[in-house]
Amino acid sequence: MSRFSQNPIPALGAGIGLKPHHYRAALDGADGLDFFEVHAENFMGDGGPPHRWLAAIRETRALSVHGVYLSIGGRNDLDKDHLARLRRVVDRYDPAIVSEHLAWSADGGVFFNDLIAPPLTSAALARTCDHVDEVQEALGRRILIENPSSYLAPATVEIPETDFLNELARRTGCGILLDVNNVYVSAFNIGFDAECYIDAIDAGAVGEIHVAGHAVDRFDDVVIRVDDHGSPPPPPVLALLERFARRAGLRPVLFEWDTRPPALDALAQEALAAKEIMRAAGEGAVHAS
Amino acid sequence: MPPDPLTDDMWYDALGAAILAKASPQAFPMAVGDEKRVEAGVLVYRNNVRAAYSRALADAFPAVKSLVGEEFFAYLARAYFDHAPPRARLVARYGDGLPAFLEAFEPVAHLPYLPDVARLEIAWLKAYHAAEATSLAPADIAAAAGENPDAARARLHPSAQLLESAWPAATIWRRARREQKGALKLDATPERVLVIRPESAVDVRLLSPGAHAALGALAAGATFSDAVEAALGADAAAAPEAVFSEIMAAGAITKVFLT
Repeated sequence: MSRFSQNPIPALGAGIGLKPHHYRAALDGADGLDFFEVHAENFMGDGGPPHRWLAAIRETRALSVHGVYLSIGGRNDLDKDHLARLRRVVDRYDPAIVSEHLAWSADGGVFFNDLIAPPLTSAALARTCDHVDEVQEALGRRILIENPSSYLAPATVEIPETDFLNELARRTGCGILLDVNNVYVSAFNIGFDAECYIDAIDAGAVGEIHVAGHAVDRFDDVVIRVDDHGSPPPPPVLALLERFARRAGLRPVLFEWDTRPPALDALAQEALAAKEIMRAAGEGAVHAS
Repeated sequence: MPPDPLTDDMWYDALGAAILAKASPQAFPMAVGDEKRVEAGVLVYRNNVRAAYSRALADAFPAVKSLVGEEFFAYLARAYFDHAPPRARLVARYGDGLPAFLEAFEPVAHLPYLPDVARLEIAWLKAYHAAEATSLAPADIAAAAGENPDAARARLHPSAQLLESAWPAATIWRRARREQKGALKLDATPERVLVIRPESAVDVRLLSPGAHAALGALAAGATFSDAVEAALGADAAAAPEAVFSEIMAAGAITKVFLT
């Protein structure tokens, strides 16, 4: 039986975020997809059907483990139990990619079950670097850190988010998971130029791209774009993917649909369409770093 | 105007408080921009957190939700969120406090079995995620116990959980999960339940008082002999062979050892 652990995900690779009701279809088909990404938290139990399915799927496809709630951007020490649970998942599946978020989910013992952007200060950067060092040390491998989606513009910004991420990667050796939907959502909500953000990210550090759709919510006469992963990526989000690929070359691209996801084939089509954008724009890129 | 200088701590303090507060804050000086836009931004965080926890509770307690109806369940989920800040680091454990909450939640006082149905659903979820283990067949147990079966002890399946309800909680749970309509005529009879996952599917089994007591004793480390005593203590008419076959049929034992 083949093991895909040592195989990296190809630079021109398409994946989808895998949901429980896709397990059967993921095993049976999912032609054309190069990898599946799973949320680490869904596999932190000791056993049971989720592990049975993933162990079987793991034999057919490369995996990416996406941690959600380690609260790396938090002001408190990392939760050692949660880090140990993440390590167990990573040890169990030896995935090609491990990633987490530039966000906080817990504070002072309260768990918010959400991804909240950290303050963009030098103190927060230093703390986040310590946290990433600790995670990479515990896992014995490099991780990617994903840019957050934002709904509020902090009154104090010492370090722009792109510099924060680039510097985090430089200091810790971690990579960046560039979520182009998050860039678009944040840019719209808090008012920055999404294209400048894409251009400012250290392309050499980027190890994976996320694409997703978002909701357009109205609060009286205010429009907020909410990162709900509940629809196909709209054209301006795909344009950011294309813009990055033209400059940086090929990267594995993952399509996320978490809220009421359709059948796996429909997800695969979106992922393959994103891969095609990546191919067309990225193959001609002068350099890949 | 934001305080000057704005510290990191203020960002975490203010956002955390805004999310947990029962009402959205009037002002949020940690963020800049159009006042209405900031207000909406805070609302997004509040809504995201509450909606995610509501979904988590609905996912974990489908029977409770079916019994009280979707609309009331949404109200219940909001009340549960507001009664204490969530502290469980795993979303799957968010509802661990729900049975105790329901015991004290006046609007469901007329549904006295509801906390036990919630307990059963927690046990179901734990069994679903429990470690794998292979149940022993009767012949394996006889072989492992050897010459002195009465002195043997057992290790139960890691997914095995025993519950006892003053209400027919398992029958109500089963009915709610199948979403059958119509009245269910029930006596207020107690039920003893084993929740276990010997293979991939979670099994919710009604136990006789004797088998329930015997399994409880085995789980606490008793010998088979003491487990039979426990069964007889719970039901003087219990037949040890019948109790044993109930336990075997459930696949409850994964190891037998002599100490």
